[in-house]
Amino acid sequence: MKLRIKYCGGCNPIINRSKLVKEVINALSKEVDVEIVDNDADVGILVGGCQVCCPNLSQIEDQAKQWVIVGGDWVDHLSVSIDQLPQIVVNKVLAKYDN
Amino acid sequence: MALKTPQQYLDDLRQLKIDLYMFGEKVENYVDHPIIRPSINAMAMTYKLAQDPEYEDLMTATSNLTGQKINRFTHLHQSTEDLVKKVKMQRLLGQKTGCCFQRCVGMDAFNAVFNTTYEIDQAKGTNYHQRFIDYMKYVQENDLAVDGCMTDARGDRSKSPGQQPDPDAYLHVVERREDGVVVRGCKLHQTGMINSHEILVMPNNALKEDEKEWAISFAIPLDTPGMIYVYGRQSCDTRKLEGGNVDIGNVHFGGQEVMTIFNDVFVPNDRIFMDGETEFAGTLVERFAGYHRQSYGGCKVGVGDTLIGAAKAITDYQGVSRASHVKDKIIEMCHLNETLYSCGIACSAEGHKTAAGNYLIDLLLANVCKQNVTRFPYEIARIAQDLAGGFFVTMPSEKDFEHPEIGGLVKKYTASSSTVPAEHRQRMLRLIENLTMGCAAVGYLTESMHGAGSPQAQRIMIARLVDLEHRKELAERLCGVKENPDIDWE
Repeated sequence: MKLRIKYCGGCNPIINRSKLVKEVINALSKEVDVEIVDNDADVGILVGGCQVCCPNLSQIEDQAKQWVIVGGDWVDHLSVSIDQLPQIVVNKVLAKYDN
Repeated sequence: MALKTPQQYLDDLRQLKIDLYMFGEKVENYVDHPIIRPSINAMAMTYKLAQDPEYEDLMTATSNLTGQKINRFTHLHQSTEDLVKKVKMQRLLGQKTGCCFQRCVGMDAFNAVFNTTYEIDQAKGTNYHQRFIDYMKYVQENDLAVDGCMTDARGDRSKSPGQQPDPDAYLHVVERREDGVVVRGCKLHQTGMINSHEILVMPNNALKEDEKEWAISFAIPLDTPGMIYVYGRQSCDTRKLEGGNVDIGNVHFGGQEVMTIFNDVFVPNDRIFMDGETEFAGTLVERFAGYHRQSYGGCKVGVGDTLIGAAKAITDYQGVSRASHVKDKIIEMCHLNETLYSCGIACSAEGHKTAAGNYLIDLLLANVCKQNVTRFPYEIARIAQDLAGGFFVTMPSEKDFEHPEIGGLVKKYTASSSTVPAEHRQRMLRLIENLTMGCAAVGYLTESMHGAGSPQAQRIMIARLVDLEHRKELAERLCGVKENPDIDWE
């Protein structure tokens, strides 16, 4: 799987963004081969530290076929438990990859 | 090279041969001077974070002039989103450095000079704007740190520049040559002066028609002949000469203010962006001040985050963090800090496009933002001192902690819990001291009071920008003093 990681700027994060990404990549790597790319990704993860998730998706949308949007403890605009955040992101990424 | 590495930035500074004085002596190697280096580290962080994918969304932007990826500190804001990201970037850097990181004045000057020069050219047929665009391309392509330079010595405050007994009280043109001008004067309080590459000078205030020689804006390299720098003292500054890293509070970072003397300095024509257009001096000052008042809704919030963190940590270390009044005081600190942030975001979100194409903040909200900044950090600092207890001003020096005979006793009686080493408490108390009454209090408190204009300056702007007659009419319609045309339901 070609994976694009795009971080927000990290001014006021309520989650540890790099730790989340590390955990997600580790978990994904047990399921599929993961290659981090800047463009032409199968799936992208927009990693926002808070619910605002301020990066402008329209400016980067073409860098991946589908995106999973993390905004603090929200994933794809739904509130989730922070404890389950890595697994929920992994499930979302795999579901979008399969599609 | 659109983005410099921190090392390239440091290498640049080592190439500059500047005439710098501190404690009555000339400073030769200022990059490695223990009092100055923390401020250079703070500026270097603006370069480092721009290289990091975790921060680049805030730290970088796409230049409207070259299409290249550039450091946001050299960017001309192209949208309200850019204005918002500027504030977020400043909060981030305040968090990372715990001090003023000193690159904002240049960014704010760029944006103010950019739209003011456009308007001068439209009115007067001059070509300042194209000159400034050429300069900005140079700044962006070389990722330069530029000091925005405004506040003059000002002599007798009751007199305007042209009425001063000493005309040099405000920087002015003293000689005209075919290829440029010679200027003389002094700019005070120059935050981030000698950790910059260049200086962008602006007039201090609105000017009268006969004060053309003071209506001058230009940019020059830091090591231009005739420039003299005198480093400003900060509370507790000589602790940095003691060799330790505990009593200084903030181990790596700090700010700087420099008295900057222009002792007959030549400025070439291609670096002059205003020369005699007195009617635009007030516009330039107002816009620079507006952008800079917005800045404080980001940078001071970031520093406030570190002080809130220090308060939380010390109450944990000292075993009082579960007391309800302690929790409430920390909530109050957060409330005040986030209120400042709200103002910074609000004046950005309500920004608008200028004729030149870059975006200007909502000036009223930016002035409200800064007015709050003149007060809230003091209250946040007061609460931090309340929560810390008095030991942060009575604690022995770090050398006493390490003394072979008494060190053990000092540590024994400094320890507050079996799980927290005495050194942790010692360090956290020193950080609170640093932020509320030491070196960093220059930036967090007094700069919050006077930087970007003292409190009364914002009140004058608020008075000018709020339509009180409109509000009076609203009240008169409601209570029947005036007829209310809205009451017509048909």
